Amino acid sequence: MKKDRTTRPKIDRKKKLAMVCMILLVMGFCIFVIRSCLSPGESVLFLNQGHPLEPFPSAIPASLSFTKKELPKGYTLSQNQKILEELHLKNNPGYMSFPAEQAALAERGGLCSITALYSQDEVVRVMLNAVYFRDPDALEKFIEVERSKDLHMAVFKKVLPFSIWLIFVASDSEQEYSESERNEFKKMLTRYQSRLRAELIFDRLTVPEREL
Amino acid sequence: MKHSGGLQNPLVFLIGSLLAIVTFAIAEEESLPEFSTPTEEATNEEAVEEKVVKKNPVEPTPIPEKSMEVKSVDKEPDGILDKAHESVSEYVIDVADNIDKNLDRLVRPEELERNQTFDQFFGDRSLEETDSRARVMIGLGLIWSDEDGFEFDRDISGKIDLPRTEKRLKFVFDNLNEDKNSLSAFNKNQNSNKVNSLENGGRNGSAGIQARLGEIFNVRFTADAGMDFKPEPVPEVKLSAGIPWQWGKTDFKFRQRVYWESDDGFGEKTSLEIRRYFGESFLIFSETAGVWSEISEGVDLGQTILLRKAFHKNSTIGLTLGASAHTEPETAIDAYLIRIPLRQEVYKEWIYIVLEPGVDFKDENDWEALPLVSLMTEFHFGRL
Repeated sequence: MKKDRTTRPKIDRKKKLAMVCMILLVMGFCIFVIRSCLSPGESVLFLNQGHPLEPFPSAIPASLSFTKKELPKGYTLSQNQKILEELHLKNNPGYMSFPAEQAALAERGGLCSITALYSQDEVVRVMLNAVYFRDPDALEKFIEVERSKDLHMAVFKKVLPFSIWLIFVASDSEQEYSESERNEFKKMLTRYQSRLRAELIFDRLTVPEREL
Repeated sequence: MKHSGGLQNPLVFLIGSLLAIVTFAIAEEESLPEFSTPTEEATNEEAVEEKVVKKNPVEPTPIPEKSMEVKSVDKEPDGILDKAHESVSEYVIDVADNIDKNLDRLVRPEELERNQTFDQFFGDRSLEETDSRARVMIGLGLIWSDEDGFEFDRDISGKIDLPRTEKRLKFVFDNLNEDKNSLSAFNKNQNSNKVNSLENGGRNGSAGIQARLGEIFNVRFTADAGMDFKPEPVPEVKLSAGIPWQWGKTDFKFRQRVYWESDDGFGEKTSLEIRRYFGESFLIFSETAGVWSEISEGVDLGQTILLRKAFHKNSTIGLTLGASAHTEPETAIDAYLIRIPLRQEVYKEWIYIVLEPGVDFKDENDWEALPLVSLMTEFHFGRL
């Protein structure tokens, strides 16, 4: 008895097609499962076609803080763990997650801040704090308020295409600084400004105590 | 009834009047230039800086030899008087700051406590205004009336902003007794100059903490707890609700207050305030009020109309008209009051002299005209 050759191949094609569809579905499901099982960072990279979505790049704190060459002699990055913990700083320099400061900045338009602590003989003598803004009006208001404070502080502005870093460098109001030390600070600020190509808003860090 | 009390001391009154005239004359001779405020100067400087940056945006700004900080425009103290004023003012500001810090410690959640080390470098960034108002007024003077003769008069009031706790609490060092008086606005030397509108309270001082409870459907609720000084301290608590609205250039405010004081017990005040400024120098204010309390004769009713004209920097002249009535045992008018207050700056925005002649017509005196004059020197301390 002759086989009906007109219908059999048709059924096979359908089966093959169904199998291909099944394989594709299984593959898609496997990809979905594998993607879900990946670590968040890898997942983020995958979702964004290779571009990182990490909002706090680890390189920025180092870029915005003083380099060894810029710092005056005897000054180093502080390793005082107690103060770093108090300020919720995992690294020095690093992103600050100190809740009171974050709340204060958020109310005034600051989106995040970087802090670096510098010590001389293990005592924190200079602090750098860079605050990130997107709104120029909030930034101007912020500058206006900080300008009115009687503190030894220098302020720089680093303008980016869509945002601005406002960088504060300050000395401790409870410690004494010699005039020569303040002159060293001036050189430090000049070197820092040339590297970062930032704009100086005002400088009271280098002003002697009696002139503040 | 004493009609000759004041006439027994005419020389004192004459000296007082002469003193007032001389001080007005001195103040007229002084030129009062319009200084720009530090904020204005700062803004101007920023505008100049902005232009420079736009002109040359690539090159970093060189660090200048001297500070770019805008120095305060406050004058250096000239003499002993100024130095004394400066030291007292600094003390007032320090006390206000300490009150603010201590209150803040009480009400701030633990997780939002500031870090002292960080603040030693950058200051407290939770403060949006570093120049918060902290001022105290001490007034010393004499009142002469045909009824009582000469009486010594003193007035202490103050307003202290608490920038750290402002969103939660407010420290009130002012007269809270206005809520028990149907003619509360009558005694106020209201200044129609909007720039310097410290409103002086009555003759008794009160101090308390005011908490803003919130706003629902444009009704603002506040709660006060404090001490009333009579002069002995008397505790009191108050709840108030206010509905402000505007019609054209006229401001209206309906207020309802309920209070309890350990001396006088419960009471309530309902009032409608209407305020209209004509330009920057002329004010008309009206208050219609009804007060019921455990010590009032039914409901005490009061109507006050104030007219104020600023004729010079920090100087005003005005007319105050008032009428009061009670409802029990029968509704009847108690008094008609007229005052013509003249407030003049005498010395560097911190010494003022207030001359207020007036006449009262009271039912208890058979509606006989009772003239009176008050002369007060005000001393203002703090951040003016």
